[in-house]
Order: sequence, then C-alpha cells, then structure tokens
Amino acid sequence: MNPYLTLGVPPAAEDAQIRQAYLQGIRAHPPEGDPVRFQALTDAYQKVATREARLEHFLFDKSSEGNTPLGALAAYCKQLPSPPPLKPDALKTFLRECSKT
Amino acid sequence: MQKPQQPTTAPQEKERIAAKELAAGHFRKARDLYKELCKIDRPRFLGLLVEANQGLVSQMIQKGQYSEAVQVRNYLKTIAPAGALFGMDLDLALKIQDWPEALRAALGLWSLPAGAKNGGRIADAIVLCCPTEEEMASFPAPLAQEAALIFGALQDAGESRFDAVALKLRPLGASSIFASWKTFLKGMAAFHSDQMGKAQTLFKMLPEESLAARAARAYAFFIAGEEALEGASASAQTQLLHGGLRLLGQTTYEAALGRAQECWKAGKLSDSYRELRAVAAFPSLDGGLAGALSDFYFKGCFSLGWASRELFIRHMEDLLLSAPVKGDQEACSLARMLLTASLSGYNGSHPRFFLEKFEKHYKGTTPALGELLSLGYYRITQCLMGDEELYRKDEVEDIHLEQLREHAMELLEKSIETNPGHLAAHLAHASLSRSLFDRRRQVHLLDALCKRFPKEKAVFLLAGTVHLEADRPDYALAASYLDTALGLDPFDTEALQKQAHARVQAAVKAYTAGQLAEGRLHFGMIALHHSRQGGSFALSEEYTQVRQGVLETLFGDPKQGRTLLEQGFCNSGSVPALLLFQHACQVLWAKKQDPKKPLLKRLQEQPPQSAAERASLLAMLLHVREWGSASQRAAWTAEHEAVGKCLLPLAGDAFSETECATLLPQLAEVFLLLPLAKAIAKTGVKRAPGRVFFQAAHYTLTTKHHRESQRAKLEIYRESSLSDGDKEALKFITSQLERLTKFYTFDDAWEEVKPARRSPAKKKKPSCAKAKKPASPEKPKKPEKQAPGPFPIQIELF
Repeated sequence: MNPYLTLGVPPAAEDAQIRQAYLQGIRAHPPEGDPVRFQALTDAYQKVATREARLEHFLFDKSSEGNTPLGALAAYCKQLPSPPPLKPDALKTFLRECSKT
Repeated sequence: MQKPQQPTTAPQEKERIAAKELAAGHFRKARDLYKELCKIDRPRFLGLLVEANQGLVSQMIQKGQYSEAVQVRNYLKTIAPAGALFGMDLDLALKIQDWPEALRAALGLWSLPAGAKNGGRIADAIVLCCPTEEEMASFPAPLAQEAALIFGALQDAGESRFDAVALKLRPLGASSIFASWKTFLKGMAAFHSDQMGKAQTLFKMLPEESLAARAARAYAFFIAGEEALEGASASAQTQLLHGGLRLLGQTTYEAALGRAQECWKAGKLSDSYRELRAVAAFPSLDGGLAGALSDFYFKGCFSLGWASRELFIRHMEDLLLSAPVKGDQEACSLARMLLTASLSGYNGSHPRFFLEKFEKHYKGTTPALGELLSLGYYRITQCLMGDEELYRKDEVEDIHLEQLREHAMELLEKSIETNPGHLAAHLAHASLSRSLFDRRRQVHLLDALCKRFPKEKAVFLLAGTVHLEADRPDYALAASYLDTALGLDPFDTEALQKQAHARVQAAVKAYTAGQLAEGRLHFGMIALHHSRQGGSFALSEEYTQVRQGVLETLFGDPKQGRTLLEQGFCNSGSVPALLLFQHACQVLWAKKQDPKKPLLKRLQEQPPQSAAERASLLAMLLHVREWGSASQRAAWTAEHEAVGKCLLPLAGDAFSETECATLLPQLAEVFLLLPLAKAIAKTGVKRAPGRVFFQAAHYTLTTKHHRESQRAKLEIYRESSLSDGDKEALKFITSQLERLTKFYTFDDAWEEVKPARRSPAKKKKPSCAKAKKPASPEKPKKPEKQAPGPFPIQIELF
C-alpha cells in the first residue's frame, strides 16, 4: 500500500497536512459506513504520521500489494482516485484500441 | 513422348468433393473446385463460389492476412451481389481500420431486410468510425437521431458533464441498437462520479463480447483491484492489462508487463524483473506506476517463501555488485532492498556497505539524505547490539564484546553526524557510553543532551536513571532530572516510579543527616506527582506516607511520624500491610524499646497491642530492611521482602487456624514469601493437626522439587478434602495441582534423572515462642525414591 496515495497527499507532505488528509478521509468514510476504507486510511496514517515514521517507511518498509506484477498494477489502479475521463479524441483512440483485442 | 493424360473427374464427383471441402472449412480448395464447376453451370454454383470465397476471407481475417483478404474481397465484388458482402466488408474494414469503408459497410448492412439482427455490430462500427455531423445527418432514421445522441453523450462524458450525459441518453430505448453504448456511458459517468458499485453493476449488464464490454473491462482494475483477476482466463487478464494501462495512459508498459507476468507465474522471478527493466521509467523510487511496480519487486520479495526470496535477493545483489546498473534509481532501490534484507538476516555483504551504496546514488530531497543515513546507521547499531545479546549468552570473550561496542559507538557517532537532531541515536549513544567511557564523560554527554533537547522526556528520564543506577547514586540529582521528565509527561509510569524511589532515598539521606527540611521537601516533591493508587502499595501515597512516617519517628517529629503512619495504614489495602496488622501486632510487640536488644528479638518478646503500635512496627521493619539493602535498586518489592524476612521468625505460634487458612493461598503464590508460607503451614498443622488443608500445604511447600509422585499424594489429599467438605482445602489443593502441571521446570526434570545424593542435614529453625511445643502433628510420609525416568512430556518454558 502506498500510504501517500491512500491519503491523497504528496510524499513531501508534512505532519499537519497528512493529519488533515486523514481526518478528512475518515470523516468521509467512517468506520460504520465504510469499515474497509476506514481501516486502510488508518493503516496508511500510522505509517506516515510523523517524520520518524516517514523515514522508517521510506527506508525499511517491506509491504507491497499484489502477488504478481499484474496484481500490483491492479492494486495500484484501485488505490488511485478515479482518473479523469478521457477526452473525446483520447476516448476515440481508446475505443479503437479496444476493438483490436 | 506424350504425357500420360490425367483422368478427368466427373462433375458430380467434383461437386461432392467441393461440398465436402466447404463443410470442412477448406475454403480455398472448395473455391477452386466451385470455380471450375461454375464454368459448367454458373447459375447453379455461383452462390457456392461466393460462399467459399466469403469463408476464405473470414479465415484470412482471423489469421491476420488482411491484404490477401482484401484481394479476395475485390474479386468477390465482381461476382457477388453487393448486399451479400456488407457483413464481410464491415469485418475487414474494422480490422484494417478503414473507417470510411467500415461506415459504408455498416450502413449497407443496416439497409438489408435482416439488418436489425446485426444491430450491435452496426452500432459498434458507427461508434468506432466517429462520423461527422453531416455524415450522421444522412443516416436513415432512426439511426441519425440515435447516433447524434450517443456522440453528444460521448462528448459530454469526455468533458465531465455527466448530468448532460444522463439527459442525452434518456430518449434511447431498450430496443435501440445503441442500448449497450447507453449502458456503457452511464457506467462511465458513475465511475467518474465515484459511484463504483453502480458502475460495476452497469458494466456487468453489457453483452459479453461486445465492444462496449471490452471497453468496460478497462475500468475493472480501478473498481475491483485484484479481484478483477480472480477467475479470469489468460486472454481476459491480457485484456484487463491493456485496458487498465490505456486508461492510465501508460501503454509503454503493455508488452513488458505481459511478459513479466508470464515469467513470474512460471517462477522465473529474476527474468520477470529483467523484462520490466526494459521500460525506461522503471524502476523508480518515486510514486506513479513505476513506483508501484518497483515496490512490488523490491519490497514484495520479502513476502516470498524463504528459498525464492533468498534466490531473488542474491540475484539482485549480483546485479548491484557486478552488472552495470540502469541508473541511480535502480542502484538506490537495490541498495535499500539489500540493506533491509541484511538487517533481517540475509547473509550477504555488510549492511553498512549497502547504506554507503545508497548514499552514493540517492539524489532525492524528500526525505533528506542525512536523515535517511542517520536512521540507517542507527538501525545497524541496533542490529549489532542485538548480536551482543547473543554473544553474551554464548560467553564470548570480553574483548570481542568491547570491539562490538566500539563499532556500535562509531556507527552511532556517524548517525548523529548525519542528523544531529536524531534523538534516538543520541539516547543510544548516551546509554552505550556507560559501558565504554568513564562516568564523568557520560554525565557530560547527558547534560549536553538535556540542553539540546529540553522538551524531550526520554532524555531526562535517561539522565535520571543513570544517576540513580550508578555505583554511587546521586539521588538528589537523579530526582531533579526525573522531576523535569514528569513535568513533560506527568503520567509516565517509569518516571513516577524512579522519581519516587530517588526522592525517598534522598530523603533518607537527608533525615539521617539531620536535614529535616530537605527531607520533608523531598516527600513533598513526591506528593506533587503521586496519587492514591489502587494498584501497587509500593507506588501509592500510603507507601510514601509510611516511609516518611518512619523517618519522622526516628529522626524528626515522632508525633508527626505516628500520624503519618496511621494514615498510611488505615488507607492501605495491601496484603502485606494487612498481614502485619493482623499478626505481628496481635502477638508480638516490644513495649519497652531497649536499644541494646535487636529489634526482632524485642518483637518476639513483646507483641504490639494498638493500631499505633502496629503501624510503628511496620515502620520499624521497613526501616530495618532499608538499612539492610541500601545499595539495592528500586525497592518495589520492599513490601514482600520486608514481610518475608521480618515476619518469618515471628511466624511460629503467631497465627490462628483461620488466619493460617486465609493467608496460605496468597503467600504460596509469592516466591519471596515462600519461607513465610512454609512457617505458617507448619503453624497451621500445629493448630489443626487433623485438617487436610494444612497437611497438604505443608507437604507441597516443604517438598524441594516437584515430582510425579506429588501429584498422586495431592490427589489423595484432594479426595480427603472432598469427603470432609473443606472447600478452602479443595480450592488450595486444586491450585497446587495446576501449578504442578504448568510449571514443571528443567530443574524438576533434572531431578528425575540425576543420580541420587545424600540430602543435607536439616537446620534447626528458631522457635517463635518459649512455650513448649505441642505434640507434632501427623506428617505425611515421604514419597519413595523412584528410579530416574524419562523427561516428562509436559514442560512449559517460561
């Protein structure tokens, strides 16, 4: 899990920004309403809440998503906020690429 | 010489063979035969010739032979009616991406009577061809209006106008050929509005092999993550891969990631990494897709099985050491991974080597290099000190331990040098300096730390501890540091305990030296931070009251001392305190305080009578213990030790039967009070010789080692207690049986197998009273010596 991605903050974010993102996240996804997302946010926050934690995470973190390279791609996509819609021209190219497979 | 003439096949035979070839899908052969047959009877065989050619074209399209398919199609145009070729034209045009031709064929297909049956194909083709508004205007109704709605909705979706999408799609009914595209666009709008559940439901409604369904698969990773892969075939997974990368705009990974996936699934982990390495942006320490895939290889390897992990890490180490690395990003990623591996037990190069490699190649600014290096050196030190623990156990020579500590010190100094604000490194450095440097230097280091980190509790706690645990403790100085620590965190238990101990010790010194004001001040400082605690008596306000009461009685104001002692004991619920209330004051108290007689002898002769006397007795006992162990560490076992040592000589005849029965179960659980428990058990046997409870307690407590035979004996006692209806006895014996099972130690096992030896002569215990001893109660028989047997199965290590 990329905690920065989960919290929606850049890797250079400081304590206050990370905490704010966490609080916003758990307000939007409370444990009663969305326990999975709540837990993911809490786990992410614990990994990067302080400067020491961020250093530790950068240097010695051993966690990763996916059991295969494709699984890693899938997990990465799931973590991303939904990408912006493809523009009409890009959508046209996308659909034509899909027709080839 | 004339060639021998080939026998001519009869037309009927040719027809038969042609039909057979056509049915078997051998379109080329069937076409050639029908060509010949058309020369004989064109009207009859023309249709079949067209069919054979159509089949051939389809086959060529499937094989990707597009140019050959175009040639055959061009030939077909000369012999077949136009209407028969629209479907084939459409397939071919889509394959070769000839959009104008595809649009023409789609509209042609629509114009046929059975055109509606191909509605899905036609709709897909129109969407792919992206006709202009003028072209759409020329479409037959209702295609023109429906196509305009769909393209309008596509435009709105691309520009995030999802409300407009919903409006535009509303007129399209379920019978429209664009129904799938309506569902797709609704799903797309839901996805980009963060309504993942709705998007997933809509995408699942799409016809399986439609273009819309293939496009929708691209969203699967974003909606379901890895779950999208479950149960998917290899080709479906490939579609997911391509779709996801297209939506991410990262199509450069398509080929490499596909190959990497195949290698990984085949167990060729290093090859998998090598495939992905071909992509320019990979690996990366930064985020994004490259970062995510890098994490998979450099961190995910730690969750592999041991053999695979070792092999993979070995390969990566070779890559770092021998092969040319791809760049700084790869070198850093490798060094970081190998540093973590070496600190986790991987037997490769020294972790310091990897840290230095990381330092050489790291070009980032967040986090800062200095902080990372500081952490790295600190962790290597921790690893070394962990090794020291092992070396101690293996009894390695001191010189090796000395070298280890010096190495650790050097690393800590590097850690501090690269990040002077690294508190943990400073603390570790100060702690380690205890074993390497003289005290003065260590104190100097600690003082400097306190100035540097005035808001850090851990620094003041360490400083206080060092002064407290020195060979010649400076209690007052320790207390001042600990007061600061408590000022920063009033609820830190360790600081509370140590501060109280330091202050009490300092107070003892002050009182003894006649400095009453200073002594009282120390107790006042304790009272600032401590409160009435329901837990340990030794941490409570009552305990400090008692301690101060002792000192006031002896060196200060005896009246004040007595008041404090009474307050302390009246409020205390501690078992040892109650013990002393109940026993020592009932039986023994020195009415005449003869300073020439030892305290304990005085207590034996004259038991205390009043509450005040009882309180004073405890105070005196604690004080005796205090002088006896002035150089010991924090006295939080003071209550147990005091009671154990001081009451033991008093135990004989001091307790009634009821008191013995009440006390034994509690005392038997406390290691330090076992001698007292034995004495009380003996007293209990005297008081009630026939009672199984005391017999069992005496037997259990006086037997040196637990043996299997004891279990049998205790079972007998248990049966007796059941028949007597002695619940107290039953409860006690049951608990002893459980202990026997749970705490069978190696010593006990050794006792089973070691050679028999002579038991030492029993020492005569001092009698507690001058009165004649009553007749000895029935003693349980000693179990017979058994031949050493195998180690019992139940051994619990603790």
